[in-house]
Amino acid sequence: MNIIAGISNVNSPELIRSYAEAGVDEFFIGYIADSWSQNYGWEVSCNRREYANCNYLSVEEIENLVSIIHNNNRKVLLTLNAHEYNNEQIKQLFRMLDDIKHIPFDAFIVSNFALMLEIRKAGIETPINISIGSGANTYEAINFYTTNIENIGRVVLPRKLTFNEMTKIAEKAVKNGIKLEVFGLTDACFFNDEYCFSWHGILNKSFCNSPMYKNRITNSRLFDANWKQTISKTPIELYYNKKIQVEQEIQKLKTKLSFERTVPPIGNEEMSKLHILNVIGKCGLCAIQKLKELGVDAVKVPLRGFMSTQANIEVIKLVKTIVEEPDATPEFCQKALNSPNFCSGNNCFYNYPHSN
Amino acid sequence: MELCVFINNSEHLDNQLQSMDIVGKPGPEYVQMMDSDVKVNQTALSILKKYYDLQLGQYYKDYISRIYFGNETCEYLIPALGEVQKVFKYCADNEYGFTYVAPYTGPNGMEKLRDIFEFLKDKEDVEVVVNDFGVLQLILTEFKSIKPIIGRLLVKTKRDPRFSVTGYDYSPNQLKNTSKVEKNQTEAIMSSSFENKTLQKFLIDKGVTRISLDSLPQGYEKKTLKGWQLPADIFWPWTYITSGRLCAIAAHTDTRRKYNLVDRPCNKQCRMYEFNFESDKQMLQTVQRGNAVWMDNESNYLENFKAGFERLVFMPYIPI
Repeated sequence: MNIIAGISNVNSPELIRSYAEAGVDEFFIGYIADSWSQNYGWEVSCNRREYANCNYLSVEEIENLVSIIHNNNRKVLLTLNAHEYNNEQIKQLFRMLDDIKHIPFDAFIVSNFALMLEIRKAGIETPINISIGSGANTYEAINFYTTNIENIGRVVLPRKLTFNEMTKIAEKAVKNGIKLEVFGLTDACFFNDEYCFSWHGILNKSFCNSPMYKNRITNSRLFDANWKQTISKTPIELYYNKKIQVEQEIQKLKTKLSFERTVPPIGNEEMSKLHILNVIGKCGLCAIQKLKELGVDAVKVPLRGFMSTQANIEVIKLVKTIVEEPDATPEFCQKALNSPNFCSGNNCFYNYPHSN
Repeated sequence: MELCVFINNSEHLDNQLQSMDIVGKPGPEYVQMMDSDVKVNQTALSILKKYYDLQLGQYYKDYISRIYFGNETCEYLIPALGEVQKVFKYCADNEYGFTYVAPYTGPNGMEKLRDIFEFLKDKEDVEVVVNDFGVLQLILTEFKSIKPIIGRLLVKTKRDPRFSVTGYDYSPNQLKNTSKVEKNQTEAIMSSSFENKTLQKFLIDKGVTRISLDSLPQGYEKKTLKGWQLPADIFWPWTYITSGRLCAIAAHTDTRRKYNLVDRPCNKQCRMYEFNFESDKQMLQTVQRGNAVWMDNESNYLENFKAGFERLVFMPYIPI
C-alpha cells in the first residue's frame, strides 16, 4: 500500500528526502499561476484550497519540485479538484496547464466531470485520479467515471463510508482492476466534501466553522404533515405540553452526552504528542490492515496546509509503521499512536466500535 | 412557467394536496410555536399565489403539472416502494406527471433505488432526478427506459452567500486589477460547468432530459443560462447549502452513534428535531433539517421566476 501525502511549503531537496525516507511514495501539490490569481484572486481557487498558503506559485518552483521528487524515485500528482469551473475558468486552467505541459506529473487529481471530459478532449493523456469531490460513494459511481473517462489512475473513496460499505465497493472495484485510495487521517467535517456548497477550510467563512453553526440550538418539530387540518381544532396547551416534553427529553440527552464525554485527564506523554494529534484530527489507521487485505492501493495523508514539517514527518512515519506491519491489528495501531484518550472511539473514520 | 410541487412525505398530498393550501392566519400563540418550515410554507405560498393569480391570471393550483417525490440528501429517507406506488397512483388519478427524486447514496441505498426503478421503468410520463453520478450510471446501464434529470446537488455552484475576502490579505501576489478580480469571482459563483458544451453533449447523448438548479441568493449569470442546451428548472424557496452522511441531528440525539457512521438503521430523529442558527448578517435564515442545511430564499423570488426557467419546482416544505 502506497502512502500519498500533500505538501505545500516543502521545496528543498533535503526536506523532500526527509518526507520520502519517512515513508511518502507519492506527493500531491497545488499550483496557482499568477494568471489565475490575477483573474480570480484566492477566494475562487482552481484546486479546493481557497486560501493562499497551500499552493505553489511559479512554474520554476514546481519544475524544481517535480524534478527533486522524481530524483527520489517518488511520484508527484497535481490537484485540479475544484468542484465547479465555468467556461472562462476552464479556458484559464488550460492556459495554466499549457505553461506546465513540459512538467511530467504522474497524475492529475480531478473532481469536476466537465474538466475530465475537456482534459481528454484536449488529448492530454495524463492519468486522472478521481478526487473525493467526485462522490464515488458506490461501485456504480466508480463505474460511471471509469466507463466515460479513459485512463483513470485511481479512485479516492470518500471518508464518509463505513467499513462494510467500503468492503462492498472494494470487492467489485479490485475485481475489475480499479485502484482505490482511502483517507488515513485528517480532520473530518460533519458534511460530505462532494456535496458541500459552502466555503472550504478554516480560513474561509465555511459554514461548519462558523460561530452560527457551533452555537446551534436544537428545536423540536411540533407541527405534523396535517397541521393545516388540526391547528384550529387542537388546544394550544397540547402544543405547549409537547414542546415542554420534547425539551425535557433533549435536556436529558444533553446531560447524558456531557456525562459520557467526561474522559480521564491527559497525561504528560500524551501532552507531548498533541502536535501530532492536531494534525491527525480524525483517524482510520487501525482499519489499514483490513483495507490492505481488501486490495486498497493507497492511503492518503492530506498535509497540504499543515505547516509544521516536523509534525508532518512524525505522522508519515506513524502511517508507514502501520502500513509496513504485516499484522497491524487495532491494538498494534493504538499502541503505535500511544494515546488512549484519542483512541476512545470518537475519532474513528471506519472502525467505530458501535457501528453495528 | 410550469409549476411542479416537490414533497418528501406522502401525507402532504392528503386532502387534495393540502400542503399547497393557504390557511387563515392562526392566532399569535400558534405562530409563536411554528417552526420556519411551517411559516415559510404560508409566506411562500402567498408569493406564489400572487404571482400566478395576478401575473398569469389563473388560480395557482391549476398550474400544477407534476409532483416531485423523494429526497436528495439521505438514503435512510428513500421511501418504501409502497409509498412510491401510493404517490404514483395519486398522480395518475389526478393527471399529474410523476418525478421521483433520488438522493446521493452509498451501496445500501442503491439496492433500495433498484426496487423503485424496477417499478418505474415501464411507467409513462415518469422522470427520475439524480443527485449522484452513481445513480445516473445505474439508470444508464440497468433502467434505460427511465428519463434522467440532473439534480441540483450535481450543480455544485456555491450557495453560501457569506463570500470571503480574506484572501486579499493573504495573497502574496500583487493583484493588478481588483475590480476585474471581483467581477470574475462574481461570475464564477453565478455559473456552473453545466454551461460547458462538451458536458452538455455528453448528457444529451446519454438521454438526460433536463437540469435542476437551486435558487441562488446571488442569482445566475444571464449568459450562463442562455448557453444551456437542456431545459433548466428552478427549485424554490428552500436552497440547499450542505449535507453529510455524518448526520448531526442523529448524532445529537443518539448517545451511542454520536458523530460516527454506523451500519444500523436510522431512528429518523429528523422527523422530531431540527437545528436553528443565529444567522450572521450576510446569511439568510438557515435551518438544519435532517443531515442537510437549508436556507430560506423566498425573498429572491422575482429574480428566479423571471429568469427564463421552464419549470418552477416549488417545495411547500423542506424536502426531508
